[in-house]
Amino acid sequence: MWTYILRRILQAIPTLLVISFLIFSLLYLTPGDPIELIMGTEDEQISPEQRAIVEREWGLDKPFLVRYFNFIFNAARGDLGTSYVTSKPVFSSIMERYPATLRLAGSAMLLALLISLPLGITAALKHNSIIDSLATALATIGVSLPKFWFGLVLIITLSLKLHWLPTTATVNDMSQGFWPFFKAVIMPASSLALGMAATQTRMIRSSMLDVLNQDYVRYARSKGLKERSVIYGHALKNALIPVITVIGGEVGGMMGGAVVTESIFSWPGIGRLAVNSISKRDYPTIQGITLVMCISYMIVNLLIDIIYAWVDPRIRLDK
Amino acid sequence: MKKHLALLLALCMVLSLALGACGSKTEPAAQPSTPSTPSTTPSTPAQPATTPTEPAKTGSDEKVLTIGTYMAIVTLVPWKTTSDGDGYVIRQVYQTLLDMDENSNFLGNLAESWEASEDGLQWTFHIRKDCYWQRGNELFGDELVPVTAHDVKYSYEKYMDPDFGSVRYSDLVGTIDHIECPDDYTVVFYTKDIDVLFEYRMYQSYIICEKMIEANWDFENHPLGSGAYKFVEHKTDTHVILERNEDFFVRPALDRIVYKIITDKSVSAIALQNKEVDISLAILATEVANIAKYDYLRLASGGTGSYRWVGFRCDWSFFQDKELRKALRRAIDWDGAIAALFANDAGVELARRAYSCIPYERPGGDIDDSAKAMWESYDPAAAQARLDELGWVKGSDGIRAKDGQKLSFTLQVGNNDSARERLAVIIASSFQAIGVDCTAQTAEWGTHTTDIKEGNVEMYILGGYSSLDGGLRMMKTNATTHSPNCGYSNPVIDEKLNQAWKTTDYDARSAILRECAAIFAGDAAHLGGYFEYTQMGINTRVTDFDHASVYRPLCTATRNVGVE
Amino acid sequence: MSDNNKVNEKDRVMDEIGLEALPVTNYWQDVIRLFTKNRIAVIGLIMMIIIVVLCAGAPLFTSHDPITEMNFSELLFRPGQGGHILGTDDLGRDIWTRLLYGGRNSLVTGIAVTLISAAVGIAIGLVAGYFGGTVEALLMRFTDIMLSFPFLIIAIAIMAVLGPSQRNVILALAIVSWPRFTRLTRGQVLQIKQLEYIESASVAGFKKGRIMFNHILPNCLGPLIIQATLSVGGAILSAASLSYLGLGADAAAPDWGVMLSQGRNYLQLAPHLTTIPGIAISLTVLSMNWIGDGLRDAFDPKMRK
Repeated sequence: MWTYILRRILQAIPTLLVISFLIFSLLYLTPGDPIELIMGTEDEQISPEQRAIVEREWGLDKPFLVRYFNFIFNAARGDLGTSYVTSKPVFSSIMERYPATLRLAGSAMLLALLISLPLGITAALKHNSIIDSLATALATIGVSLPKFWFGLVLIITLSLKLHWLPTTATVNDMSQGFWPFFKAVIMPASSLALGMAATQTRMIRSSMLDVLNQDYVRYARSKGLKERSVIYGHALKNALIPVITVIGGEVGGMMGGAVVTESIFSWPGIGRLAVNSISKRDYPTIQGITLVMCISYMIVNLLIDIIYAWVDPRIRLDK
Repeated sequence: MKKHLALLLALCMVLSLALGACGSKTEPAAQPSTPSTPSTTPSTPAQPATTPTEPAKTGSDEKVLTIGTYMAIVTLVPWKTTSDGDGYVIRQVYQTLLDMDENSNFLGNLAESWEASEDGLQWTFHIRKDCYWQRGNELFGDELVPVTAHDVKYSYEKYMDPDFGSVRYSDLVGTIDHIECPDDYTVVFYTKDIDVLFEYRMYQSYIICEKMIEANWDFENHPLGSGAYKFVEHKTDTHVILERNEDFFVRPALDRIVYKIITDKSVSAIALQNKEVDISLAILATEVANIAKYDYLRLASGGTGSYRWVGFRCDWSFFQDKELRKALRRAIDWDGAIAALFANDAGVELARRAYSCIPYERPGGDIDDSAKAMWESYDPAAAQARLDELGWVKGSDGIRAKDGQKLSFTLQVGNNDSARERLAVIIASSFQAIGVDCTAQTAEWGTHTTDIKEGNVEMYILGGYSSLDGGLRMMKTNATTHSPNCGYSNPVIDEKLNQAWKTTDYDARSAILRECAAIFAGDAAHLGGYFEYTQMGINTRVTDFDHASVYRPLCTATRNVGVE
Repeated sequence: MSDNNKVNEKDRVMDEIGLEALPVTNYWQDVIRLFTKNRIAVIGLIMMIIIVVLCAGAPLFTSHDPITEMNFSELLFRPGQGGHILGTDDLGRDIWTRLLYGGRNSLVTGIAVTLISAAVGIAIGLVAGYFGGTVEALLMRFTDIMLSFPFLIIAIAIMAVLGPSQRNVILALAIVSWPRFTRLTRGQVLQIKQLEYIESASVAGFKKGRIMFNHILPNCLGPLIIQATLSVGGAILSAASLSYLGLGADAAAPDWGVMLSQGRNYLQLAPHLTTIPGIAISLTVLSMNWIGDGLRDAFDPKMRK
């Protein structure tokens, strides 16, 4: 187990090197001039003298490979560079927003599971029942309408019509207690959770159905084991593999921030930072975010693989 | 049997979703302005009343103005900012020598009075003797330090230092020769040539002082100036808070200003209706009617129209032909399109058709009939006939062609403004209807600007150039960049513009500019355009906010915005 | 060499035995029989056929033109108003017409993206999960890399290098969506390859490819079909976000996702602008779901007893 984790951590190093090179090249190919986009306005063009100064300051006058190796060298020492736009260190800009992103992602995931687990299990047990169709309908709607739709509909009903919740988040942590955080997070989390709950419900239902048809479950049932213990003791655990995979993918995705939801609910997460820095071609920040994303994904995927082994002991990680 | 039921239910779910959403359409009308009573406004009970994040709304004597801004704060460093969003904050914390009102008139700010020499090469500013650097920080402590002419000189000289990295560098170096301070409260600028926009530059640059630079002051995180409001806190992507500067020469009417960053304009409008913000900076056309129906809200326009136009790349292939450009112009129903794009039930004029590229409110923009006469009336049939005449005849595929070359091009539009995107769709569709193969393509902003600059687009939509010198830069031949007019060049206009640049008399200058604009319109460098009047939503409790701009200082000798 | 030959020989024999034991025609007949027996699945199929026919034969069902027929005096008509079955949009275009024509693009995009990303993702996931070891480590780290790329950057770069077109929209979306299938497949394979019959198949000397595609794949189809049917809706919506970024070929052309996102400012004023394309996508996804469920049951060996 520990050697496995160690090996995965070692695998991370070449992965990060590859992704940093890829993102570097991709940004090189991407049109858009950071100097113009950051220093200029729609009205104002930047003068050649000024451009030369800025290029020197940002190191854009150096050849591609020199820039790349400088970046790698600095990143290895934990310095991701400074943002072109704000002149702040990239690492601290990312870390400033990361907790808010994690809190939103966590809340959304919790909410999604609260919906999908009971709904999915019931749908499977009561195959072709009303609950089952309800679950299918929820899933269908969940993936067919965009997040901005849910977000705006929530704000229009809960804030504008009913005055239950404030339109924008004033806090994004529990520094003022649970309730203010809950009030701030419930709408963005719901709008994110609906889409996730959709896929999860369908997954849970389907793999539960699969498992319930397996011989060992039939055997357990025929042996006269209590239905509850059959379902929660045997079936559910074995049905979890695809569900965990899907959840993992979604958690990983949300680590990169949920741009639309963050914008609608004014949530100060990493997604808005990413979009802003891409629109300004703030190369250091984009590179930093990509690396952080990659690390998050690798951690999530490592966790998933460990959970696989825990759920199904026959899966041996070290092999 | 069960399966049938299940099927029915699933269908019902989808339908109920549809009905639920459609049904709500009639609701806003049936439920007229019933402003929420203070007790139902979302207040968070668990929250301490003194917390800076929640503006006091009820009972409290504290005067707090909450502004909903959709623009993220990019930087708070006064010589690096180019974004209006930053300016809203920075203009309150720092001072500039001059202020500018909605009619492009200059008012004193840090400068009490100013004059230009006879030859127009020397500008003397007399500075207020009662302005002080903000106190209560590590730099100045409790000491009251006056702002002097030396600070002004120092600031401008810093901004003219290439290594300092000011965004105003080229503007200033291009016009200022040197600066002198005859005494502590007088500063004299010597210019290289006559500059009719000199006062405008004095409105753009913020005054800092030597002590800050020497102390290596952290301008980004602790903005510190001599303005009416002091910086308190900036929470990234969430809010900025300012508080009253008690040392200011008039007592600012507000205890606090809170800028709430609400990226989504629709949400910002809802926050305004909910009384969570007092001012919402840009109300979408679709929200105007919602705002107008509340008696505690009012709408106000920014005053000056912002030019948005569809331009030809005039030096590209068949667009070099002026007659073709003019023929295409007839196929667009500008009045109808602008009405459709900015339709609102409240009857607010959100945009006005542009006949000239200079805003109506700017010198030379008060067009006479000469510019209007340059525009043929909308007539797609005439456009078709003219195209036939010019040799662009419809082929078997329904697309017009001449000498084997198809009349086919792309109209590119940036993804930063939904009105412009819809305009692109209208234009492309109108062209397609007369056999012109025009594709409307939305492009990511960075890509769009690069494409225009490199001449990769045949037709484009841009906005801007509505500042004082906008028209001038727009019409002038510009070899280095494609952006303002895309390869249009007319020596007659260039000559006239050079003349206007040196004409200090306002009316004479306006007349020349008006003349240029008429020629420019006649040459059909632009397919057409409109001036947009962005509406702000304001709670009626906000006082002294006649000129709806937060890009100006909220507290000056002549203006002091407060709340009831 | 000789070893290989031996294995091949054995395989050939096994193949023959396999074929004899389960004739192909019978298998497919079985699948079709099971599918048609499932009423909901058939209803899903019929719904899908109706949608496809409506979209493909759009000019037969409407007399309006989806692009050039703008009418500035008929803005935002409600469904039924002024002879427009589903009303008009913010530029006075007939929504029913745009819905029909828009379905052409949206269905093609949604289905093509799903098929391509599923094919690529499943193949990579099968190989990674089945072979394990270095192959797996390499492939899975590769998917990690693909997952962590900012979607926006990929979109902008593709648009810049290849130019905007529907084909490139499909390409861009497929590039970002295959890793989901990979991870899902691999997770399933890890579990299934431990099962006795797979082990016995490899002991029996079946070719690896055969084990992967004939024995493992059918057993992990369930979650994959669900992911695929749901991702059709996701792809239609993502295509809209791409057209917003400039990857869409023509902003004037009708498309369900684009209709939805262009209606976002009208949620209060004219909600039918968003709900109508939303329902269209929902119905498509719903019918796909039902078909998917039916297929799953029809293919599932355990259900076929």
